[in-house]
Amino acid sequence: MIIRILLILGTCIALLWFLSRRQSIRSMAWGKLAAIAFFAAAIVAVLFPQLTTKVAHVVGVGRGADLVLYCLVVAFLFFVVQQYVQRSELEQKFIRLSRKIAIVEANQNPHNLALLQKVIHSKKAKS
Amino acid sequence: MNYDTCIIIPVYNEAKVAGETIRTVLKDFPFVVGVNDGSRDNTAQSIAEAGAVVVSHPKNMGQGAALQTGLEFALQYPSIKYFVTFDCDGQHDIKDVKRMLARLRQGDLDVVLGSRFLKTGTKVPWAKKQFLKAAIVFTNTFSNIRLTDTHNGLRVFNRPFAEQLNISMPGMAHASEIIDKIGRGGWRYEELPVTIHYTDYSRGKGQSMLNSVNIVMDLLLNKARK
Repeated sequence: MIIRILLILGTCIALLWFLSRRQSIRSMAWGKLAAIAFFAAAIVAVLFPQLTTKVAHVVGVGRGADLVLYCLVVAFLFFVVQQYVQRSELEQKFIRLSRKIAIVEANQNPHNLALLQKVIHSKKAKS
Repeated sequence: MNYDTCIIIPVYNEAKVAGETIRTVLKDFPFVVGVNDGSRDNTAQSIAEAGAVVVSHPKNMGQGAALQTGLEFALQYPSIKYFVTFDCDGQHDIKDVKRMLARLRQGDLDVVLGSRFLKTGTKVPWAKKQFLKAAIVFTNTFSNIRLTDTHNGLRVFNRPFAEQLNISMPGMAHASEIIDKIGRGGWRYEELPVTIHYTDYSRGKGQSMLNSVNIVMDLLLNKARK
């Protein structure tokens, strides 16, 4: 029973993160904590395999290997969302950078400068 | 002769038709910015030859991104008071722009949007009509403004609106994003009937039905982001 609550909770948090599409300082900090916990748990699980079974029984799962699999599924979900969020932010940065380049180039383009002289800076345009 | 207005036309791989459109627009509006969205053909050259200012994206980034680039370029010039978004494929009518601009010049509005469903001569293809109707119901449900046509590329707006717009949806979802911003910012808007010329050309490349899934998803995600 406990495992169900934990798994649904994990999935919901991943979904909310996906919807927010933002990488905040807070979510980055949580990510680092989760990574440390994951590494620690991995080493402990290798050293004391029977421990996973004990933990599994506590949260209501039959076998330790099953618990490890479930945790992996949720962790994977978070990984996918994290990649998505990062990719969207990169895309926004890429677009803003390209836009800057496009405008700087356009401002130096002789064809544009000649045209702007007529449509913006000429007496006729100013009147 | 409309020296205070900038027409922004995003173009992607449509050298021939964009040149024609720009020439027509230039008869009434001297300041046209053609945003070449990373085209692989000679679009940039064709925009320049037609007599418009060229701003070229180094890579293709989508229509929404191109509109924002055109806006930011035009905003550099304080004498420009009004901004028009105009499709390059010849489906819009410059007469409509003049009417919309005249309405905006009265000064009691920030945005004037074109609508092909407010009594007009436009014959909308059946399938396209159903698709647009669904998009309208959907957009009206999820934003607090009421429109008869939510995916019309013809818009005229003033400088304060342009300065804060900041379109972030790179692709076609910018249409919903702009409407969402009008609603959220409490901008004064009005729809005017416009004619859309459905040429074989524009029919061939119009938004596919499947794209409505993208539009709906983007809008929902945008909502959730608040």
